[in-house]
Amino acid sequence: MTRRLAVLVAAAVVTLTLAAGAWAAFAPLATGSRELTFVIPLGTASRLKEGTPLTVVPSPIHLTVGVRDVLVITNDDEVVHQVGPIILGPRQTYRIPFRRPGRFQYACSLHATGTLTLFIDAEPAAGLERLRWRLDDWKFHGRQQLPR
Amino acid sequence: MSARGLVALWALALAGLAPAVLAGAAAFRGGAFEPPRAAPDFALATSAGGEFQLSRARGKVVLLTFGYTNCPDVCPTVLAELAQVRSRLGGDAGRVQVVYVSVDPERDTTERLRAYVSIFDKTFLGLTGSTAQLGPVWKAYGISIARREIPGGGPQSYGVHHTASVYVIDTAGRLRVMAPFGTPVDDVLHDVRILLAAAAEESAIQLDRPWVRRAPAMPDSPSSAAGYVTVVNRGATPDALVSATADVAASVEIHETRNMSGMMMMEKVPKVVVPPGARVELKPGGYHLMLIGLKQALGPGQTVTLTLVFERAGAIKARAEVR
Repeated sequence: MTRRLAVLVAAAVVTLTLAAGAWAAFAPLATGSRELTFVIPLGTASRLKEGTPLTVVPSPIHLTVGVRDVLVITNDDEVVHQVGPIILGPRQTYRIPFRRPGRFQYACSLHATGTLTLFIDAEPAAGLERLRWRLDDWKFHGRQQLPR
Repeated sequence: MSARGLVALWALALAGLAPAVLAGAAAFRGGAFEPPRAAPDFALATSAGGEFQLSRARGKVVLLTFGYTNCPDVCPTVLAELAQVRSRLGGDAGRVQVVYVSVDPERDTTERLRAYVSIFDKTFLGLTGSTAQLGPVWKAYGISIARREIPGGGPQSYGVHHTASVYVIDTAGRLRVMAPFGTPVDDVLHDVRILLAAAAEESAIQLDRPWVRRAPAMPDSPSSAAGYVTVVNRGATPDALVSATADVAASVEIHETRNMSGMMMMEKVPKVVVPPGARVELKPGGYHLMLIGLKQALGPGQTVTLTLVFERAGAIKARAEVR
């Protein structure tokens, strides 16, 4: 009896997982733009001054056309910060939409390589590509701290 | 429908409206700065002779970019695209100034810059100076520059890697957009048009020579005074003065004095229409503002702050002298 129940539960779990996977791989992505936001937190300048090692801005950053194609960088610190060519005053935001796939490179002193690379990816095709995109999106929640 | 249903409907309508409002605020296609701040000012020698100072270019949209005359690929692309932006603006092209600042002071003289920028557009300005003069400008705009020697070339044979973004500065001198290299011409044009339209809207109505007639303080009841001003509409659409307030009065009404066969009549009017390109005078014997319920006596030499509200231009403040 318990064994039969276990088989039933296992079958239900497998079915649900397959259904969820199929949905994630084939359901169309929500239309309209979404944002990938990076925040320079309050106190970043003083932490840099103290010599606290800060992991730099992730590079490359991937955005997806039509889905998450707006890059937003917000300076929550009390002093001016520069991310590549973007100079942000205290509590200022830079918001840039990308509507075409491509690659942008910025010189950025925050990076060990000296460059911040942005990949604007085409919308992921149905199937594995879309499944992977959804997993990444879920992992990062579309919001990251900068520098981390 | 029940009250709760109405509230729910209203909340839904608001929720539906929010994205539209947000989209309106973020309508720029290049990268936009919010809130906008003043673009770092500078003054440099120009290819047209004399000096260009950014803060003196108010009233124009400035498209600022950086490069050097020996640039083989990137700069010609940017300048050709900016020339396209200007030509596609048609009649509005005169309200846009393209400024090209050198990243190579060693080779770029004003003469070289003149020859270079004029092949793209005769109105473009090439700016240069000493490294000491240019350095702070590069820094203020976050321009990174790296010199690369060309192997096998002579001593003057080098390239300069540089940031090739286009900075869009509005008519009030604020840095609004930084469009990275590769931003389509259509998108830059789109953003410039937004700024030109906003500028036209802001400056369409001008108030000229405001003044208020002196008035005593009455012992029994608050007194009134008349206010006058000339309204100039420099825009292309009609506007109308619809209401006004004054810091020294409880309320302000718009009145018109009319001569009905020798009897002077004063009538409240709902608005004063100002057609495009017209000057409408609020003057003794015609339209005027009626400042009602004065909080103090008004004597010559004092000033009164008037706020005039227009249908399109919104509220505009004016300091009126008491005569």
